[in-house]
Amino acid sequence: MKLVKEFLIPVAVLTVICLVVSAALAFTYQATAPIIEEAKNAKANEARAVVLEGAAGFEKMNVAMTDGGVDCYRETAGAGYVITVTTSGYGGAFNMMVGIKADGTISGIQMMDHSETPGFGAKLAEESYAATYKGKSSADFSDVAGVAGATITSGAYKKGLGTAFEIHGSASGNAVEVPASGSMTLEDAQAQLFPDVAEFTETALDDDITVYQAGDQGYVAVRKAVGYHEEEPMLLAVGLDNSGKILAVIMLENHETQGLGTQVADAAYLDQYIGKDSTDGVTAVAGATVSSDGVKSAVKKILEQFPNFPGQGAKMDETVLAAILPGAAGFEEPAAAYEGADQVLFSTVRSGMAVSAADGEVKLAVGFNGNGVITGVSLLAYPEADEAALAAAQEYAAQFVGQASADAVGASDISYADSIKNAVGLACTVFEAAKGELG
Amino acid sequence: MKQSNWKVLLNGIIKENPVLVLVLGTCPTLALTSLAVNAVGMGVAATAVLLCSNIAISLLKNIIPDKVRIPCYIVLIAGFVTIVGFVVQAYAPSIYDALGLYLPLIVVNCIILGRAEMFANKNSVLASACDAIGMGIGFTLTLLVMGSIREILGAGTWFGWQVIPDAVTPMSIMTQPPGGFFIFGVLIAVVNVILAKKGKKRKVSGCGACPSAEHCAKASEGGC
Repeated sequence: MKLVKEFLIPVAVLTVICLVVSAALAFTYQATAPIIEEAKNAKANEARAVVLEGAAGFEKMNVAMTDGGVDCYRETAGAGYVITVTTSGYGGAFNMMVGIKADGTISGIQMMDHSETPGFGAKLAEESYAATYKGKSSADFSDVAGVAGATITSGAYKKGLGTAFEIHGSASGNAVEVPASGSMTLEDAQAQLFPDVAEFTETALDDDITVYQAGDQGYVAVRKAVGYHEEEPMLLAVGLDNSGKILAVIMLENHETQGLGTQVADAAYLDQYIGKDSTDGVTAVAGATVSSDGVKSAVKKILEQFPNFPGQGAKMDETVLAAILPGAAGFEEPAAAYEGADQVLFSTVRSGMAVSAADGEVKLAVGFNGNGVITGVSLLAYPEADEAALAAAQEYAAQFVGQASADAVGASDISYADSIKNAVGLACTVFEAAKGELG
Repeated sequence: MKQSNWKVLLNGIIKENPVLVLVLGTCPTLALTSLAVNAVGMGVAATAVLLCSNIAISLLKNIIPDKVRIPCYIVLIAGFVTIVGFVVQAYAPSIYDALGLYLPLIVVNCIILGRAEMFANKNSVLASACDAIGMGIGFTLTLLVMGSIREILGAGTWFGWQVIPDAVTPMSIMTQPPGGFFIFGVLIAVVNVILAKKGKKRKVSGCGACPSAEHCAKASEGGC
């Protein structure tokens, strides 16, 4: 009896209640499902008629959907197409219904089921914003201004329109060239980074990097970044100042997966690089690890090549060489590479050697004769621009001339004296290593 | 009996206002009051479910064994919510779209389970229905007041009509979560002042201070 009261009755009651409720649900569903379906269709057709003026009826088309495409309807009389696409805004994915007339221009746009922020992203759902796109074709829709304060939603909106035009192209049979999402031309990127510079000098570097030097203001380096789609890499433009710090990373071409990989083109990701001179601490976009890594490694390669950018890494030029190794007729490159030196050059008769070495921000060119005696020291880079300080540093450096080791000269109280001494010491070590190549 | 049912109904509006005094159902209150029309939609839908569940539960209070009462309540409430969801989707699709996720979430709205547990399972059908209507009115009114304030300040409109001229920039923050919390706090303060004036507030601490104390069997033992 206890068993019945304690276990069977509760179980039986709960089961009966569940059954009764399920039956009630099934009944309500049966009764309302057709009405719901009808309301949905009516609403969708109504919306389609809104975005395509003068539409009488629609038929669904079976065309290949690109990423982000939902469906494509043709107006029965041939007035145009209504294409629904999905795109990812600030508040998550939303659908857009785009009406494209027979002549390929936009007739109307509806943003549906969106959860963008009221007052910001939601402004794009307003009739007045959609109206600014009216009459635009695949060629010029991207020129329409976004909404201030709703950059991400504006970008998503245009991305959605791009998808719609792509589908329209395959539906209507005349494929259209749609600019890739997140796209910006190199000229736009250059103008954005260095607005005052008109002429950019192009230099091709290793690693497929092309550098555009913006006068004396900095550089724009362009390189491919392989993301998720190996055959269609992204194209990045990295703006750098003269010290190698990143001014901005701009996505020129992005063919990554819509809504996932494309996120690496968002400011939220790319702005992480601003002000850095390395890629450390840049976090990948969740769901777009491969694309993020592609961008990161491309930026890293550009930064690695920075010392080879035109005008970077002060080299020993003729004047410097003549000063530190007087009497040498010409110079040639060493046969081997020597660790520690930025550059090593031998006089053509192999009677002397010029070594450039750096310690911190101090960079020196040191000349040696065949016996390892220093014949001249010249400052290639020095952190202080003040003339008196430079002269003092040059004077201190000159004390090493005639010595065979850096330790022969004592310390000095001028700033960076230790760095000068260390750099000379480093040059001496390189000399010891390289002297086998001397005649 | 009639007198006390009337009192039960009125209780829900201010004295035991489910949102502002019992502090139940805070999530839909904050999430759905950015527009007055959404607030009314949510209020009416929740009231319908509350009425159905309170009646059903007080009818079944002698049949449902104490051990499985919570699962039983949940099944009943979830069933009513889903039915209301179908009906709203079929006959008022725009309200259905506006309520979005929050309609199915009525299932976990504490007001409904709270009233089932506190009131419907120990009172008559009529009293429970009165309680449901009172609580529903209290919930809907609170949502309406919050929604109106937020819509007027945040969007310059009321039920979609322009109230504040276009030239005045609306305070967008009011339609966003921080504005919701702000208005919520202000309303709770206002209700506290009203109750204090009526001499209803008693200075108690611990479990006795809980707004649900008088319905809670364990209030005297402590440890809710």
